[in-house]
Parts: sequence; C-alpha cells; structure tokens
Amino acid sequence: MADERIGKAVILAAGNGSHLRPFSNYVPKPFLPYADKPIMYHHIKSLAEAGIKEIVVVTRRDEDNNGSFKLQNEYLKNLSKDPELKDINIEIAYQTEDPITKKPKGTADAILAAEDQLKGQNYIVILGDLIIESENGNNYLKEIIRRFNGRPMFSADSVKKDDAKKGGFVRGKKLDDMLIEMEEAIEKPDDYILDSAKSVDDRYNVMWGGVYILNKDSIKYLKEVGKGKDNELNITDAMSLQCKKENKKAYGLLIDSKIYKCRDFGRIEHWIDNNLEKQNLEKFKSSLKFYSKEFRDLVYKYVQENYNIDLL
Amino acid sequence: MEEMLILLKPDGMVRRYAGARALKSIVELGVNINFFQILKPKKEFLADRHYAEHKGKFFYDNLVNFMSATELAVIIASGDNVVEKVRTLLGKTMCEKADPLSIRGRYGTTKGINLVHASDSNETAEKEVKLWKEIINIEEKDYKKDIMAYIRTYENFPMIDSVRYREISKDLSEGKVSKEEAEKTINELLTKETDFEEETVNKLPALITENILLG
Repeated sequence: MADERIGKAVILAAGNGSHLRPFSNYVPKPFLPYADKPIMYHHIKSLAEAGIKEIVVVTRRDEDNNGSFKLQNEYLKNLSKDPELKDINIEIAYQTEDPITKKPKGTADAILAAEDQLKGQNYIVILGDLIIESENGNNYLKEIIRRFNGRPMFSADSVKKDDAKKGGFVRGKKLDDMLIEMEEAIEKPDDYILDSAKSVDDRYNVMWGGVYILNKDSIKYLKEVGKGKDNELNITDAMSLQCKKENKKAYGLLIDSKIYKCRDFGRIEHWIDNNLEKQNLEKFKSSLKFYSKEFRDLVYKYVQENYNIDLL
Repeated sequence: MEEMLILLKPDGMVRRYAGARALKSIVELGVNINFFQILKPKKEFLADRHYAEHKGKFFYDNLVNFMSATELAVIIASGDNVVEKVRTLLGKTMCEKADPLSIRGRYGTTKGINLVHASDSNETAEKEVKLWKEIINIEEKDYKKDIMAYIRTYENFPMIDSVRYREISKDLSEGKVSKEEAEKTINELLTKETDFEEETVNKLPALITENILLG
C-alpha cells in the first residue's frame, strides 16, 4: 500500500524573473504584489487551507540577482509572526546559480536545494508564478491532495491547439471529467502529434498551473534527470523519467474553469492586469507601500504610460 | 502618411526572444506594417549607402561589420507620428541611458548593441525608406500577417537575461575580465538563446566586445 500522506510543500521562488525586467531587478517574481499581499503569501495561505503545515520556500542568497532577494528573505524570516499563519512552519532553502548565466539551473535543481527537508516524504510543489483562485471554499490544492494515490501528479488545463503547441502536451486517457492518466508528456508538440491526438473539440491537455505532487522516490530522479527544455533541469522531465523507469503512470488533474481561475504572473502585462481588476485595485495600491521607492515609482510610471491610470 | 525604416539588428535576430518582443511592442503601437522581410543586404550597401554619413567615424567599421554579420529583419512602418512613437518605445540609442521600461532598457546589451535600428527623424525616415526601396521588392500582400507569424515563432523562445550581457559589458569596460573571457561568455549565452548556426553566432562576440571597448 502506497503512503498517500502529504506532509510538506515546497514553493519555488528562486528564479531570475527575466521576463519581468526591470521590475525583477528589485523583487523576485513570486514576491511581486498581488492585491494586498506578495504572490507567495497567497500560496502559503492556500496551502494552509489545504492542511499543509510544513512549507519550505526555495529562495536565493541576498546578494544574488542585483540583491533583489533581500526583501523576500527578510519577509520569510519574519513570516512566522503573522497571526494568520501561526500554526505554519516555514523553512528557507537556498538555490545556487550557474556561474555563466547567473541563473539557477531549473525547477528540478530548485527542489533539490530543499532535499534535506523533503527526503523520504511525499510533497506538493508550487511554482511561484501562477495562482489558482477559487471562491466558495473550493481549493484546488486540497482537491489534488485528496486525489493523490502515491503516483506523481500535476495540474493541467485543456487549451486550444495554438496554445498547446507552446506547452507540455499530455498524451493519455481521461479517467473521469478531470483526471488524465499520462502516457507521455511532449514539450512543444507539432501539428502532426496534436492531429493524431484526435481531439473532437479542438482542446488539448497541457501541463499548466504550476502545481505538482511528487512522491518519496522522486528525489533520485530529480538528481538523475538531464538537461531539457531551455537547457534547464525540469520537474516535468524528472517526472517522465520516473514513470518510464518504474513503468507506472503519472496523473494530471484538470483545473475546472467553472470552479477555478488560473492567474498567470509570467509577464509584466499579466501581473499588472491582474492587479488592476476592480476588486484588487485599492488593495494593490496599498500593498505597494511595502516595497522600495524605486520599485513603486517604476510601477506608477508603467501603469501611467500603458494604461493611462494614475495610481498615486 | 509618414513612413519609417526599422531594422532588427544581428543581436535582435540571434537573440530570438528579445527580437520578437521588440517587434511585438512595435506592432502593438498600432502602426501599419507596409513591408516585412528577413534579408541580408550586401555589405557595400550598408557601408556606402545606409551608413554613408558615418564614414570615417571611430565606430564606422565596427558598425558595418556588425550589421553585416547576419540577415536582418527589414520593416517599413507608417502612421501618424510613427517616428516619434517608435523612438519613444525603443528608448535612447545608448542602452545604458535608455528608460528601463523601454525596449532597449529591457533587452539591450550595451551602447550600439541595441537590438533595433529605427529612423531617428522624419527627414532621415524619408531618406532611409527611399534608399531601402531600391533593394527591396514590396508586394501586394498582408505584411502584418508575416510579422505576426515571426513574432509567434520566437516570442516563447528560451531567453538569457539581458542583465547578464550588461554585466559582462560592464566588467569588460572596467577591465575586470579580459576580452577573450568576455567573448567566451557572450558566445555561451548567445548559443543558449538561439537557433542560428554556430558559424553565424561565432561572428558576434568579437564584434560586440569591440563595440564595448570603443569607448
């Protein structure tokens, strides 16, 4: 009988945030403000609601990437004082960077930075640049944890062909409305592959949403995996490798768009759009006060120039 | 309506992501795209015609050699105040002085290695468009569709943080790394974000370091 308990979560917050320059010169992507709090806080809150009490955040040293991690690291060290998170234990792990690119080596390598804390357990992985939101007490993390049966899992979405071509296409059969049994994951599939998937409604399942559950055997595959897309060591490749070696499947859980809203923070315009929504705007304005003056001024200027909105 | 010339320079070509993002921002200005093609002009055309006014200046040889290193994306755009709009979007010519939110501020490497050439005044625009029309062949077709297809192909390409190129540029000009070391690193970085052949990519590092050291 597989051990289906998930004791820990790991939040990956050690990237350069290259797509978010110049904002990421001051703040790492998962630490950008979303509504009233840093993006990362929303993840921690959501994990707490899903019953996870042990969280490891993978970050970088204060001096890395223009010193942009300093604020995040300080915040993390003080987070245990937050009354809303009083039962939550937050640990910090540091990922190192490649000497040439001055970038960390990918998501698989980031998890290994927290190896000591994760060893021998099942754990849920959260990538810092997406938030899956819901209302009425629904919680996607809770749902994926509930479905975990000892095999690796990942969040997924059903998208149009053009979007599927850009992502990690998941070939496999659907076990129910939401669950996909993965045969194979193909990065950036071409027309031939997608056409042979014979989708009736022109929808294709891709890995999306930035949530993974890895089991206690995963560490060895994270170490073994070779460089994949973008020359990085990726979680998805490690997961595929594990399935192949063990000759067992991984499972994707679709994010039901009727219940959940997936917010992407991977590009400047997405991050700003999310914050300018009516219900978030005032919260966003006040959360900016927490950040440095240079950062704030840059946000004011960007929003003024591109949206013609004065945040001051 | 005013027309202007925009060129994606070799660094904008090889650095696929940065180039695609620059073109995307230009298209999003709502300008008309009257011409778009990837082509490699003759070196003499660049040296004797396009850059004729710079002949004899200290950066001339480097500029011509750099611009002839790879094929270029050639664009003719039109619209009201198109020159001013595009130049504001791109930011100052020297990347170090460009607004951090501008294209060159976000993706430029250093000095003249600044991704894009754009006519710098209405007068130049008229002159450049006239000149380039001598070597291009404008057809009756939807060039916007072509440029969008180019953008879609490369906007999700792997990218190297532009900050990295700027750090090397700074280290080199401050003498913290040797020219050879800088070239080796630049080569490694470029290789990671391109699908250009090794042979073409190999030409760029020396031209980039030369530009940095021109002072």
